[in-house]
Amino acid sequence: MSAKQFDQTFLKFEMKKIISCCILVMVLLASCLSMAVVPVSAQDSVPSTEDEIEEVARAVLANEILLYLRAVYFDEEIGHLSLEELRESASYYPQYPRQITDSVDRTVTIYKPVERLVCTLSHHLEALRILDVSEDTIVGVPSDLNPVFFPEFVEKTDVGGEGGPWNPDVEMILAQEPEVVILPSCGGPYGYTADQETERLEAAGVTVLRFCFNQPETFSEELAKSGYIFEKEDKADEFIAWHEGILSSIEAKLSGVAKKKVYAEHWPYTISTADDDIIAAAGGEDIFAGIPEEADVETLINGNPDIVIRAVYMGETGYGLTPNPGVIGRLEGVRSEILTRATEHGWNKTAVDNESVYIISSELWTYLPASGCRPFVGQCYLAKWFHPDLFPELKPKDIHQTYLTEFQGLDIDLDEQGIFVYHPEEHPDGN
Amino acid sequence: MKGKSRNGKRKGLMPLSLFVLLAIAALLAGTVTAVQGAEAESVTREVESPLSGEVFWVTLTINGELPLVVGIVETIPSGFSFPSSGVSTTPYSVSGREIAFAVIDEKEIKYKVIAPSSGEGTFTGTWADINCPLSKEKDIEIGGDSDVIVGSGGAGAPEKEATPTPTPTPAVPAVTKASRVVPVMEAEKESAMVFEDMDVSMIALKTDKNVSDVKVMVERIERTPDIPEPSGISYAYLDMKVENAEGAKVEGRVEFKIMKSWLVDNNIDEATVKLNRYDENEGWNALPTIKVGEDDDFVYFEAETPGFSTFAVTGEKKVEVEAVAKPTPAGAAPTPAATPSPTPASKVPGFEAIFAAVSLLIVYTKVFRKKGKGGDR
Repeated sequence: MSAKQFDQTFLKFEMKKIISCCILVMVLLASCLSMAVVPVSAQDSVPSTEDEIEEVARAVLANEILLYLRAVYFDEEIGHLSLEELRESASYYPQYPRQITDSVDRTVTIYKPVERLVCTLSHHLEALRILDVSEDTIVGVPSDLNPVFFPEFVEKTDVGGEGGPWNPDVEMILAQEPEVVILPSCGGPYGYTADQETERLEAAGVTVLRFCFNQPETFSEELAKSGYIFEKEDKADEFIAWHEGILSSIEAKLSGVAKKKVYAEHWPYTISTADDDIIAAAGGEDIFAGIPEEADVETLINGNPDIVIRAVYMGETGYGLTPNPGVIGRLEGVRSEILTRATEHGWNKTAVDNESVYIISSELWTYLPASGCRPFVGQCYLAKWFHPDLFPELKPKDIHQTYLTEFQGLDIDLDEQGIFVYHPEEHPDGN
Repeated sequence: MKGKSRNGKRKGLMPLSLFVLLAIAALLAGTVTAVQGAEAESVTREVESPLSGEVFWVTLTINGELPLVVGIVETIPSGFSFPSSGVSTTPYSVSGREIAFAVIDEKEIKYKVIAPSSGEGTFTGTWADINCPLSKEKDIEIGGDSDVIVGSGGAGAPEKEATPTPTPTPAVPAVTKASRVVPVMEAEKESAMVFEDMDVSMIALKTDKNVSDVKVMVERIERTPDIPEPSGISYAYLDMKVENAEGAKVEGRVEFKIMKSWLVDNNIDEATVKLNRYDENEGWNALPTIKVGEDDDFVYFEAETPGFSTFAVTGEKKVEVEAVAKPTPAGAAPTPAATPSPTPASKVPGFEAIFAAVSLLIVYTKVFRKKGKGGDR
């Protein structure tokens, strides 16, 4: 494993050193550093052409050479690659080094093709599959993988540890000798962030990439960066073009159209801010936008939603299920409970009167890790539910099928399996 | 793969053996492979003649084929300094009198130095090839100019290249390339410069008007295909150029030396040694050349030249009574040693001349007949 980066330990070391130095030393140091022309390394856009890739590689490699020379010949105490490491990286020039800014604004450098990679969340694995990253490269996977959706990875080493995917086992990760580990940039349950794992892995010399792969507003950029890092620029471009083509056509039709008022919950009166954006992107307005956790009835009554959405977790919905009476009956039960509750609590106005109460699977929603990279399919369903007159030609199920077949390489026929949405008239078979 | 890491914690890069496997695997998979670039062969320095307190340029030439990735550290002489900014367009970092460069795909880099009001000093530097086998040595010394004298304009010792230019003769001197700068030249006054360990030991220049900062460059070269071979047996080809003469006519005397062993081995008559100057229109012209001395190893000659361009040092074999003009077998390229000496006609006995003519006629007839048969087929 040899992909390296300017790690945080190094930065902390530099900070301590600067703080501890006297002003005179700082001035001298500053004067020395000012007499240098070093190449710009991090970039705003993702390199995609050969020239852009070479430009970044040249800048990063030059910077690393200067760090090495300053450390070895100027006796500066700075982090640097060894000469052997430089020579190995240079052997891949001009394709490498590659450098990006990840989703928590860390500059990450990859010095050579990645051969050993660990993922701790299933949607990261799904994103890598969009890119057609070789499964042989992936040497550690999250726990609790759905064998229907990730059949090729169920035999791989589980690095999830006792805490599940949101608390990966760092020792187990290191035992796989990864060059790169992808950790989430988004927060998880109970205030989880991957900061601690990031620090431990980087201290052990492992390069960490932090991506979300679940937020519509950042998904394309994250995929483009990953495509660049893993030499899958073409795959990233192909998917992004298809994905953005769908979403931009929705956006275009919604321009100037009045938004529908939406109430979305994932348990009775339990809400999340995570779905605000997807509702907005589908032409709706979450009446609890920006409010976490709990919905109050008074706001519901006054808000008078046009549409009610209930997200239902895996097990009750998802891949591998078929629309048998038991499954459909459970979903109908969930929907009936909402209608009953609305009547009891007095917010049974527009949405309830119009029967506009929909069930959607967490597989297509925004709650990680179940939703994977598929919230855009959920967005298609929402757009059609919110504004059926605008989207008569939109076929969310077909889009879902194309995604599974073309971009995930899965042999899943949605005509034969899968429960993802429910409405007794529009989606009686759960699909 | 373990190794040195940033902050001492990094894992190292992969061993060389894995490189080979990766290269093979990647070739099969059509992905990016580790490609060994052309290795840098040497780095040479050229220093402009500095004037008191002025900024002057130092040029580093990286010899080798692209792609090149090289790290260079130069140390300028005591008393000299770097400008506060804009030292070079190549990525660099300065620390005191040291400057580090990251050179990627550049064959020549320049940096600025500020000269003191007076004094002299020595430039030193090392370089390390980055795009090369992991085991290649580092800290290789930079050749070329190193000594500098402020105000003298006489920068530069001869450039010692790591790989001397191949020549058609076995006699390759230690130094194959050098340059000198003459700060001031008065009209019709000769300015001489000495070269050590080179074929050329001295050049004396004379111009028809006053000029300054005239640069003289001498380099032993190989004859290119577009230049015909001169008459005789070639000892060395030389490029002697004069730059910055501001249109003045420059003529000069060139003192050169030939190894005695070469004269003996090739049976060369030292009285026939010539310095020949090449002109694109006129071809080779033998210059007036005289022997001016000798020591244990070399014989020294001096020639007068009306200008500077490409030159060849040649000699002719001693005339031997037994020598006959043996015909070269058809289709075989003659080697220099087998090339018949152009023997003066007056010294060729009549019998040998007739014998040679008859021999040539026989060979010519055979070749002609062979070609004729081939053409019929």
